Order: sequence, then structure tokens, then C-alpha cells
Amino acid sequence: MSTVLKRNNVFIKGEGEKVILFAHGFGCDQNAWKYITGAFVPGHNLVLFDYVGAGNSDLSAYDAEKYNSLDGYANDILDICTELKLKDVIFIGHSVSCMIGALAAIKQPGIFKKLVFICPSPCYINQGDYTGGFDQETIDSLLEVMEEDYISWARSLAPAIMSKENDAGLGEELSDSFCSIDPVIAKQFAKVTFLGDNRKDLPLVPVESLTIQCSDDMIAPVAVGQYINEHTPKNTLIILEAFGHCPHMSHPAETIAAIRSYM
Amino acid sequence: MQQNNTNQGLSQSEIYDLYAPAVYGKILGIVHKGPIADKILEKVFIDAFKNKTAHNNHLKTPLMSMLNQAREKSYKTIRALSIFTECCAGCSVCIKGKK
Repeated sequence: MSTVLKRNNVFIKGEGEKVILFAHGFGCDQNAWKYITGAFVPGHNLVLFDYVGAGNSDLSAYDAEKYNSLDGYANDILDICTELKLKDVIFIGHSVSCMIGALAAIKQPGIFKKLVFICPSPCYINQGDYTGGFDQETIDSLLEVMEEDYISWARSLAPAIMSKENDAGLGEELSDSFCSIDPVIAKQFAKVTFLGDNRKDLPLVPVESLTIQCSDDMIAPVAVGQYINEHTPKNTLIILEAFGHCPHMSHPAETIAAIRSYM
Repeated sequence: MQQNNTNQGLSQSEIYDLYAPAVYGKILGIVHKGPIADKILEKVFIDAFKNKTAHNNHLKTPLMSMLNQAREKSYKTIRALSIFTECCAGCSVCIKGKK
């Protein structure tokens, strides 16, 4: 296995000529796609990977300077595409990966055919007339908490957060999911993610794209999806009935249907 | 921490001993987890001893100011952890709605 494929723990499955590249969001790894990939196996080659710092990626490849902006992650996606000689790629990204995919497409538009953004946000902080969903103080608090033993804290609180409306099994599933990221790397990824502002890049996206937004998402509200739709050329907006920030996990059927209708 | 009639002349350790139980109780009542409450308590007192805890209002005692700080920091911490949880592969909202 090449250095690039090992670095990002690239996994390929499926059959067909069309290529779909799945890019997970902050705090996740490629397992986040397990509920929807099966629907796309027939007729497609599916490429999954972990960002450096997530899942089974090569942690020794982490370079704080390189990953001090989303560009570093976008370059990794381009490395994967180059290594696998991918063309006409349908990119499906979740959360922060949407902007990473957009940056990659801007850098090398020839590689990508379509971009699918699931719960994207070009900027998480409210600024002027723009509604990003958070004020600066909230993001500062998040980053401050990440200076502590935040993964253990979140794990310990997860059942409490979920207890009223979920069973214990789901709580365990959530707790387990916290193990997939390196806490130190995740801090820098969080800063890059939540303090970034990629609104200026939206008009530069060179290929057609789909924005899938949930009807109630505390991380990326509907207004963000509308903003992306208004400022990105050839963008289609679908607002799901699903709620939360991970519809590909919570509402896979509706998410699959939305992607299929676009593809 | 500003001195007033309620704690004038007390050392920092005496102030801590005097107010920490009530402040800790406030924090624990919100976050429900000892390790998290410990850290927030530490931050409340660090801020207080660095004079960051404002209690210029003459109607507020140092304890009231610290309780306010404790409440504010506790809710901010819970909010931050909720955001982190929401981002992390299966937040409460999305898992509960799994279809």
C-alpha cells in the first residue's frame, strides 16, 4: 500500500466505473458512512478514508503546520485522487468536509464531477447579516473545553444528554464513537473548522453541487444551507425532514434518497 | 478578588474553604459529574483570585458573584460538550431519530 493510501487509511469497495469519494466530518471517521454506503455499491466504486488524526489513519503523518488550515486536508484528498488516478469523482462530504471538498475542487476541478454537501457550513460564527449558528463566545468556550479532558467529559455526559429519549444501547454506541479521534489533533482540527471562514470560496466552486441540510441542526442551521445555495454556482438545495447534524447516520434512507435524486 | 466587608482580611485559602462547598454544589447540580465540576470550580476560584469575577454591584456578595460565575461556566461547558457530541458521529439528536 502506498504512503498516501496508508496515511489516510483508504478503503475501496464496490463495483462499477463511477467513483464516489466519501469524506467524513469532524470527530468522525469513515465508519460514519456505514449506514449509506451499501446503497451505492452497485454500479459504483466507493472510496473511503480517514483524515490524519481520525480512525486508523497514520498519526505519524500529522504535521501541525500543514493542517493549520483546511487546505492541508484538501491536498490530502487530491493526493488520494492522484494516487488512485480518479476522474469524474462524485464527492460526498459531511460537515467540515464539504468545504474541504470544495477547496479540492477549486484547486483541481478536472478531478470532480459533482459535489454533495451534507450539513455543510462555510462559517460557523455569526457575522453581520450572516447566520452561522454560533457566536464567538460559544466557539471560544468549545475550544477552551477542548483544552481539558474533553473526550472523557463528553463520553461521561453522553448518556445524560441522550437518556431522556434514547435507550442505553444507543448511549454506548455514541460513547464508542468518541474513540476514533486523536484528542490533540482534534483540538487543532476544531480550531481550523470552527474559526474558519470559507464564504469567499463558494462562488469559485467549479462543478455542480448539492447541499443537503437538515430541518433542525444545531451545528449548521437551515439558513446556512440557504446561504450556500445562494452563493455557490450550480448548487441545488434539499432540506431533509431529518434533524440533527448526521443525517447519514440518523436518517440514512432519506439521505440516500436525496443523493440518488441528484445523481 | 475585590475585598469587601464580607471577606476582608481573609486569606485565599480561607476564602476557598468558606465558599467552595456552596460553589461546588452549584456546579455539580448543573454538570452532574465530579471531574468536570472539579475543573470548573478551579476556574471559578482562579478567576476570582485574579479579580476577573466582577461584583461591583453593592448588592452582590462575593459568594453571589462566584455562584453566578459557576453557573455561567457550567452551562458554557455543557453547551460546548453538546456541540462536540453533536459533531461526533452520532449525536443525541441524530441517533434518537434513526429510522
